[in-house]
Amino acid sequence: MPSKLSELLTDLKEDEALEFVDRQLAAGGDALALLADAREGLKEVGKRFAQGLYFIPDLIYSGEILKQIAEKVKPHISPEAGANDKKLGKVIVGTVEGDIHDIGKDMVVFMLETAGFEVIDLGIDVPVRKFVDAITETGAEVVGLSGFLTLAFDAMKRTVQAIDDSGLRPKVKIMIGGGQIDEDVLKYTGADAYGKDANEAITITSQWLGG
Amino acid sequence: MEADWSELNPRERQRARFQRLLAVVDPPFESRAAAGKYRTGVERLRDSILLDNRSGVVPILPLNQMFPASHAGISFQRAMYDGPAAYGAWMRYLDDFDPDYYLGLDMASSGGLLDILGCRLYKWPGGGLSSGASYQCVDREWMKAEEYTELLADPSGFWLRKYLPRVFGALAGLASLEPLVNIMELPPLMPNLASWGRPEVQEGLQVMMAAGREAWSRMELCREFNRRAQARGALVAWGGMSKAPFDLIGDTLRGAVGMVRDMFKQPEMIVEAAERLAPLMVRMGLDAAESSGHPLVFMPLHRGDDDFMSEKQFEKLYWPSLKKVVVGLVEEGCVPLLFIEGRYDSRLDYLRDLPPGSTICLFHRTDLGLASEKLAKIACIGGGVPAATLLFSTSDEVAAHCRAVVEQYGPRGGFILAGDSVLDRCPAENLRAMLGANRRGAPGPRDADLY
Repeated sequence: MPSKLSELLTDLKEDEALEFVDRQLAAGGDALALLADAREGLKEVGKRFAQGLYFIPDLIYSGEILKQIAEKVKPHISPEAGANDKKLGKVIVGTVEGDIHDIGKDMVVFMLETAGFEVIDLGIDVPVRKFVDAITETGAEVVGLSGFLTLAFDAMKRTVQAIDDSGLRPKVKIMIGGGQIDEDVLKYTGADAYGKDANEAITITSQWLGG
Repeated sequence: MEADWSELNPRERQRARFQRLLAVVDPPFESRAAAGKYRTGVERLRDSILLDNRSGVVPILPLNQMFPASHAGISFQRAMYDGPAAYGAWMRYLDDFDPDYYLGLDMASSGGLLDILGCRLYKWPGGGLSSGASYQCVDREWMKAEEYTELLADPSGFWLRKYLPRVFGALAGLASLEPLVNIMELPPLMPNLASWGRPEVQEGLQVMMAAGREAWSRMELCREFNRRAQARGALVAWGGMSKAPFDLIGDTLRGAVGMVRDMFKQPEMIVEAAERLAPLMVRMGLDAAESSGHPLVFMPLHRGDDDFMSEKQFEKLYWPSLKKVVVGLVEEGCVPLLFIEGRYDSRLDYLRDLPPGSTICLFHRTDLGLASEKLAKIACIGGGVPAATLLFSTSDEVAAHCRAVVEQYGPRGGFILAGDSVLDRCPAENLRAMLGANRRGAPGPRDADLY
């Protein structure tokens, strides 16, 4: 049975959702539970997107609402409680070198976070080396390469190659995504999978890491 | 233009513009072969727009924006900062590929211009990106959610005093200007003109003058290139550019996230602003077509696709103002060249409302077969060559693919073989294979005589 907050978020009722959170927090409500309810709402948004009932703006808007809810509840979450919020696994995401498009990447980031993964967002125009270093530093087992331009194909290929050259390739699965990605691009880059939208990125990651 | 332009209907105006394109005498063609190539290219394009290309040979248009630079072995940064080097690269493209149509030298823009302006709206090779990157827009809220009213009241004033100072850091001082309409009569003349004397405004005006000089200089090079290309028989792909008002607001003013918020929180402002901006977009395309003497007006469509918005949102927020711009341009005899990004499978029925024989629709992810069927007798369509095909296939595979596409869609009388996306690099032999795709095929049935 969906909670009141998850329903409000699923229905993209921003003002009502934020007022609900304010009232709950004022009444001493459980901040972590509120965040969990909000994430459930996001999951339903993802389902509606997959069904063709919601579109990209709905995903983006729901993410904006969740961000505001997270800002409200954050001060009420103790560091210990936050640490106990178990994650399903770590995923590194970034827009590859030479490309500064971030809308698609940001959608993947917040949907992965909603689904319970810990996401290391490297940002945009990410140098090849930074992906390699991030894998070493975080131990992430999944890497998501985003790129909108056709020039991104070469940057994705170089990034996959660099991960391979550093001996880390057997330890990670690599997915790619963006406006021009298809099977031919996947083969060219040497990545393991591609997602045509943020939902598919979650599906692929879940298959690799569980969730 | 003819003195009785106001008495011509849109079809007659379109014919007049193509006749003007055919009647060029300056510069003289380098050879009879070049003259024939040019004439054939213009007529083939015109006939395709009229859905009456029965030659069995389709226009071919790779969207190879910066390809000439990569082909010539110069970096994109050099192409943007070194006009003569860019000119040489684009000329080499003509030498090596002998295309009928090409994307102009202005695609390389001017890095110097962006430096003068202190551009924040873009990052480019040499301006925040490495030398081999493409220039890209910085997606940000350049107009605040509460500023729609101000934009609606006075778009030019908003541009001069709010938008330009925000996107071009060197023009920040122009924000101190007062509205132009305040400059009038006596006694208010002196006090209302005084803001133009502010130090920061003077600085901004100096920047505008320097920017104007750089833009003029670089455009002179572009115009000279077009003259040389024309003398050799090649035609630049379009004469100007315009935008769908929704995209103008979303791409240029509110940014993607800002636009999304407006779609939910104040959709009526989007509708009103799009309506207000539509005539300005007609004017922008028409001015460029007039100035260049070329009737085609390029319009990249970004956010109206099947994945970005529901059909209800498309019908309310995107289509009405886009249609106004397209019809406005068509009424003046211009030909909107809609480059439709994403999928438009569910939008094709709306495109059926376009004036017949007056537009080109290049498709990216849309089902081309469905588009051909739905837009029969309505629009010249184009596309059919995915970027991945040009990048990763062998030249024989590219040739076979392109021939198959031409044979499938050529008979409809209005088809342009084109890349489905902008391509800055690809193997030269693959581009040659695409450019050589025409084969004589059986001409299709003749559509109604639209002239």
